[in-house]
Amino acid sequence: MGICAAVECPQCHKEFVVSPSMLKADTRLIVGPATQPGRIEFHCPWCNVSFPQEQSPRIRE
Amino acid sequence: MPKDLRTYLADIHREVPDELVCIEREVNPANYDCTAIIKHLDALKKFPVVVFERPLNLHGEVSPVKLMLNAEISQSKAQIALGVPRTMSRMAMAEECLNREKRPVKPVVVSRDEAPVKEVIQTGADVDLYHLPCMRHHEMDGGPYVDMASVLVDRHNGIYNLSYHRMEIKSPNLTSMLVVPRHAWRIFRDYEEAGLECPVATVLGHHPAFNMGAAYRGMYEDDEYEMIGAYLQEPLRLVPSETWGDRLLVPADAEVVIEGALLPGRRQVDGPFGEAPGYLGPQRYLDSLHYEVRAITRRRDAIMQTIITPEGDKPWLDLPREGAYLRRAREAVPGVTAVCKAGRHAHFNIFIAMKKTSEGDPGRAAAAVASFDHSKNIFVFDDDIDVFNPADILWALATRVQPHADITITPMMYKGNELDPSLLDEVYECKTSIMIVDATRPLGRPFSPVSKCPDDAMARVQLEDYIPREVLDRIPLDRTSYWA
Repeated sequence: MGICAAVECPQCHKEFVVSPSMLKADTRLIVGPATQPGRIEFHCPWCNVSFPQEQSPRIRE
Repeated sequence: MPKDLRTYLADIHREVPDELVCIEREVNPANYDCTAIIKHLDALKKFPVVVFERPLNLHGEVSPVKLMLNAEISQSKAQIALGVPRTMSRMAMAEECLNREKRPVKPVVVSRDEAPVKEVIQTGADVDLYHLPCMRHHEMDGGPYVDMASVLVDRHNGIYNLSYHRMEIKSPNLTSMLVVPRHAWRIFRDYEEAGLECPVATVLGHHPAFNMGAAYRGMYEDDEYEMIGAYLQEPLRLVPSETWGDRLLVPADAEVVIEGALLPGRRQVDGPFGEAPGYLGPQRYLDSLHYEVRAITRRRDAIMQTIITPEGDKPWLDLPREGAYLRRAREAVPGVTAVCKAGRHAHFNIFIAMKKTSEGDPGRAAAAVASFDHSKNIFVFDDDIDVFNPADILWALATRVQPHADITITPMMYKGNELDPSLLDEVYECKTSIMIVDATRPLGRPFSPVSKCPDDAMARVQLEDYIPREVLDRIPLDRTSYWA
C-alpha cells in the first residue's frame, strides 16, 4: 500500500498524494467529542477545491 | 544583553560577513520566489543566511515583517550559534550538545514591558495571519505554511514541550498542525480526552540556539525551556502569553509568536507538504489538529523565520539528534566514538564509528540506536573511518563487508517513521524492517593494513619546504572528482 495514495481532482484533473488513512474514513475515527461528524473531504493543492472521495475520477493506491 | 536573533545576526556579520545576504528586491514567498532563490544557492553549494527585506504577505502587500531563511544551515553557522570554536569537529559539537543537556538552565519570567515580542499585539478581530510573509515551500504543498517550533505545556505537571510541526494556513485565524505520536501528541490527547482546549504557541524567529534546543530528543519529563536555556548558556526569558497568561509562557525575545488553542474533537485536512527526507508528505487528517489562532505578537521590526528542506546539511536539527544517538550508543558500547545522522544521506541511515573490543559490539550499538524511529539502515565502522565523509563510508563498505556474514536484516517489526516513503503500510501497521551492516575489521585474525605514508615521513616532510606558499595557494581546489 505504501504511505501515500494518489487522488485525481474532479476540477483540474491533477493528482496529489494523500495518506491511505483518509480513504473511506470519517471523522468518527477521532476519539473524543466529535463536533464535526461526516466524511472527510480532500483538498486539491493545485486548484484549492475541496471534494469528497466519491467525486474523484481516479484514486491510485 | 539576552541572546536573540539580532545578537546572532551581529555575530554572523562580525565573523562571516560574506555569509549574510540581504535581498532588497520585492519577493513573493507564496509564489515560490524564496524557494527558488534558496534552491539556486543550494545548487552552488552556498548557504548564506538570507534576509528578504521586502516580502509580500498573503494579501499581496509588502509586509512590515521581514523573512529569513538558512539561519542555522551549515556547520560553521551552527558553531557560531553555539558559541564554540570554528575548529570544533562535528563529533565534538554533538558531544557539546550532550554536555549542555546535562546542565539545564531554568528560565526567568519577565514583565510585558521587558519583552520585545510584545511591541505589537494583535488579538480578536485584529488577528490576521495573512499579514505575515508566509511561504509556499514546495510544488504540491497544500498551501502556505509555517513550520517553526510550537510550545505545549502538560496540564498536570507544567512541563513545557517544544517540537516542530507543519502548519498549513487555512484562514486569517486558522491553521492545521500535524502531530505525530510523541510528546506533543501525548499532551494534546490528555486535553482532548478531558474535553479541554489545549494551549499552544508557535515561535517564528529566535536565536538559532533556541531553535536547536527546541529539537531536543530526550525524556518526556525534561522541561524543554530549561534545555533551551542549556543550549543558550543563559536563562531563557519568558513572558505570559496574551491568550493564556501564566498558563502558557512564551519567549520574550522572539521575533513573532502565534498563540492559540488546539480544539478538542476537531481536525483539519493538511498537506501535502515537502518534508525533511526530501519527499512530499501526503495530505492527512486524523492527526492534523485544528489550531485556532487567537493572538499574534511581534517586534515592531520583526524578522520571521521559516525552514525549507535543504539540499545538504541541517546541523541545527541533526546535532541534538546526534547527541541523543551518541548517548544511547555509548550506554550500550562505551567504545563508540562517533555517530553521524547528518544530511540528506543520513535521514534514515545511521553511521556509527567505534573502537571495537568484542565482535558483538557492533550489534549492541546498532540495537541501541535502533530504538529511535529514524533508524532503518545502521552501519557500524571502525574508528579510523570518518563517518561524516560519504567517500570514507563507501570505501569501508566496499572493502570490509562480506554480505552473507556482515549484513543482518530483521523482520518488519519496528515502528517506522511516518515520513519514510518506502514504508509498505502506513495505515494499519506503520512498521519497518531494519538492516544492520557490520563494516568493522575482524578482531580474531589478521586484516590487511591500510596503505599509507609513514607518520614520521609525514611529520618530517613539510610541503612548504618544497613548494612555496604563494605557488601552493594558486593551485585551485579540484572538484571534478566527486569521490576525491
